[in-house]
Parts: sequence; structure tokens; C-alpha cells
Amino acid sequence: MESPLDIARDGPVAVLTLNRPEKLNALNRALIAALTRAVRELSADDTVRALILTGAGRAFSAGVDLGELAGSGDVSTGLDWTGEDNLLNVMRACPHPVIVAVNGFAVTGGLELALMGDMLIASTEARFADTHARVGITPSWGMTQVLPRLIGLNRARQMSLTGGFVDAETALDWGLVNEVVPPDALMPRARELAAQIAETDVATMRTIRGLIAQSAELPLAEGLTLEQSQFGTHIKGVSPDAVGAAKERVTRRGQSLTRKETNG
Amino acid sequence: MTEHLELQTPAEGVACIVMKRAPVNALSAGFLMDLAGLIDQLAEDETVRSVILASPFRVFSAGLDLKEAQAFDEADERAIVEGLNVGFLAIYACPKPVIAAVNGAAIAGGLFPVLAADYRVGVERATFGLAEVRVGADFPVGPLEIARDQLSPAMLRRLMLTGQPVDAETALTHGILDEIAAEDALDARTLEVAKEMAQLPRETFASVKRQVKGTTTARILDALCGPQPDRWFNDETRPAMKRMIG
Repeated sequence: MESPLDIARDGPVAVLTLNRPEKLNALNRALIAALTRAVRELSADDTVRALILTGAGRAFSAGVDLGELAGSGDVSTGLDWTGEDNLLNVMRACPHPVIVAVNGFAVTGGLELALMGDMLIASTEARFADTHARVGITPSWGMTQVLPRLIGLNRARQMSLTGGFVDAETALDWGLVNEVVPPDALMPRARELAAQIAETDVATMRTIRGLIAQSAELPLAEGLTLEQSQFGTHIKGVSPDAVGAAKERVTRRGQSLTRKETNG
Repeated sequence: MTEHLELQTPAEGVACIVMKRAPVNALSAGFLMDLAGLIDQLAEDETVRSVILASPFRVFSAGLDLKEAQAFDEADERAIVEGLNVGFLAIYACPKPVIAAVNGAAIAGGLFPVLAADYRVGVERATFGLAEVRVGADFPVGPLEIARDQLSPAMLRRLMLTGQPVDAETALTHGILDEIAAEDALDARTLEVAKEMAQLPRETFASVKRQVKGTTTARILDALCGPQPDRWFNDETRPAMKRMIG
């Protein structure tokens, strides 16, 4: 049987593609398990610098596979929803930035999965909805907490209380996605962003990513104090070796940008 | 060596980089990256104890070739910004003594090899300026931080905000130059300084240079390791460049 998750490595970038196109990439047990395992393994891999998450076919993901859920005796024990190893916790613990490339429908559990990423970009074909209230399941992967932080309380209410669809343009306007590009430009753009992340200094990038994540939870004054304390630690830690490594990285990039030229 | 950089050994332990991009050592991305590569190579070379930067022309360096720059596309802009950042940082952060022999005008980008050097000897006729504001371009982070570190606030303000050059006497008063030499004595005097500095204990020199210049180096590298701007020039740049070259 074909794997429900396709994993491809491109240098420092790992591309995870939800691969159940005939089921609109609905998240069944096998796919959730594969995704959890893959993210956990890639998290431990220092040669990885960024992840891209996308879907094969028309959908990013239509959400949890209700057909499979209906078939299992006890919904609450059918999947690991809240344990340490559940997908949300594993994604949140991932040290690599995750770029979510939303290629089509991102609905309910599929939208929550997208919201687990560090940044979302969308194709013009993307559509977003939260149908938890229609289906009769309370969210558990962050919908009620992450969505309002991104798009504001009343827009989140509109999405989660009506279940209505939001198109890519509106998603961009609302700040749900950072960029909207034509379908065939989606993966190139995601790879470009990932490559830029891969060029950064890993320790500094992680510090900054952590600070940004904490900014949502801290009052401004406390957040600024935290940032300054990190800066102090960082400047003290600038060793000759670290400087040498950074200089080498920047020099290599400069060489790669320089075209052949003639003298004069 | 490359076609626009010549390496000489005027004395044991002293390397002299002769910048030979005729006629005025106009800065290009390739030239700057080659310069960075050569400096890094000399930094590794056990036999080299100090480095001289010199020009065989009547000008030390005139900065960007404005005619060339007017035709830059986005990729060229990114490349030249990277070259300016990396090239000058290589000089500024080189662990060995770098001495500039300023035999003529050092203008705009051409002033930074001087500001990045550890000791600067210039001739009376040399002029020193940062014409960027007149050319319609602001300063990439590397040159900006080097200038901020090396110039007094008053000189920084004057050079950057007027775009007009100052003469060698003024440069001496404000520490852009360390001394003025007669034109026929420039090479000999520079070599003398380079030989003296070559005698300094190697590890200690590198360590003290890090103490003196490390904070600015780290600040530049921090900025360069982050995302880089897509464009350098703005709508005013090309008309301004056109005006400058008449």
C-alpha cells in the first residue's frame, strides 16, 4: 500500500506531502501516525533546517477522516488526542520552522494542522473552514486558541461558529496566510522561504523563533526584557569560532551571488 | 592572482595587495569577493604577518562604477551589496595588521578599504568622501557599521550627510588617516609601518584586534546572517547617478 505521507529531502529542507489525494488528504490513523513519527524523527535530525508541509491533489487536508472515526468503536480512544505524543505537541516541540504550503482545502482538523506551522502560504485555490461546530466535535488541536490570535476574535467567531468557507484572498486579508501565489508557484515559493531559513545561523534563528513564540504570551515590557537578556547572552557568546563560521557562511553566499564578469 | 588583484611580497612577512582594476579601482561584486578571498587566504598563510592595500593608479578607489551601476538589475544589486558587505568585512576583521597606502582619492565605497584598515598612510593630494547621499543610495549594513565604528560622530555626519569630500589634512585631524607622506615616500613609509606591525606577537595582535573590532564585526555578521533586502537602489538612484557622471 502506498504511504499516506510522502517524505522528501532536499538538502537541509524536508518536504512532507499528505498523500491521500482521493480522500482529500483526510487525516486517518495511519496518516496521523506517519506524520507524528516523521516530525519527531526530523526534529532529532540536525542536518534538517526547515520543513515544508503540503498536500497532494486538490486539498491540503479535509480534516480528520470521519468515515474511519465512525467505524471505530470508541472515538475518544481511537486516536491519541491529548497525550505527550499527540501530533500537536510533537509539532510544537519541533526545533525546525515549518512552512505550510496550503494547496487547496484546509478544513477543520486540516486547518488546525496548517495552523501548527510557523507560517502559511497559500495557492489561489486554497479554501479554509472550521466545521467543528457543524460536525459536533470540540476542537483539540488548538483551533479556538491559535486561530483568534492570528485573525482576531470576531473573524475567528465567524469561521468557527458558521463553518463558512474563506477564500485565499480573504485569508490573506485576515492574516491567516502570509502570501497567496498561483498554484504552480506555491512549492517554489515555499522552497525559497525554506532555503532562506536554511541560510540563517541555527542557534540565533532558534532563539529568535522562541522569542516570537513567547511574545504571544507575555506583556510587552516582559517580552522586551526577555529579548534584551537574550541579546546580552548572545553578544557575550560571540566566540572567534562562531564569528569565523558566520563569516564563512556569508562569504560563500556572496560568491554564489556574484556573476562572472569581465575586467574593466 | 586574479586579473584585477596583484599580490607582491615587498619584504619578508609583508604581503602587498595591489588593486588593479583600471583606471580607478571601481568596485564590482567580483572584484570585492576576490579581494575578500585573497584577504582570507593571507589570513591563513603562516608566512604572512601584515598586509598592505595599495593602488598603482592616481586614485585609491572611486567606489562603484556609476555607469555600470545604472544598468544593474535586481540580482546585480544583491550581488554588489553582498560584495560591499563581505569585502570590507574581510579587511576589517582580518586577524593580521592591514595597512592602507592611500595614494589618491578614496571616495564612496572606495573609502571603506581605508576605514577598514588598521593603519592608514596617505598622500597630500588624496581626498576622502562618502558620496552615497548624492548618488542616491543608502549604506549597506557592513559599510555603515564600519563607518560608525571608525569615524567620529561629527565626521560621520559631515561625510554622510553632505556627500562632499575632505582633504588629507582634515582626514588626518579626524583620524581617517594616521599620517601623511610625500608622494615619492608613500610606498617606503607604508612598508616601514607594515614591517613594524609584522613584528607584533601574532596571537596577541589577533586577540586585541577582536577586542577592538569584535563588537562591530558581530553586529555586521548578525545582520548579514538574517534576511537580506531585495533591492538596494530606489527611484532616485539612477537619475542621481546620471547627474553625478554628467
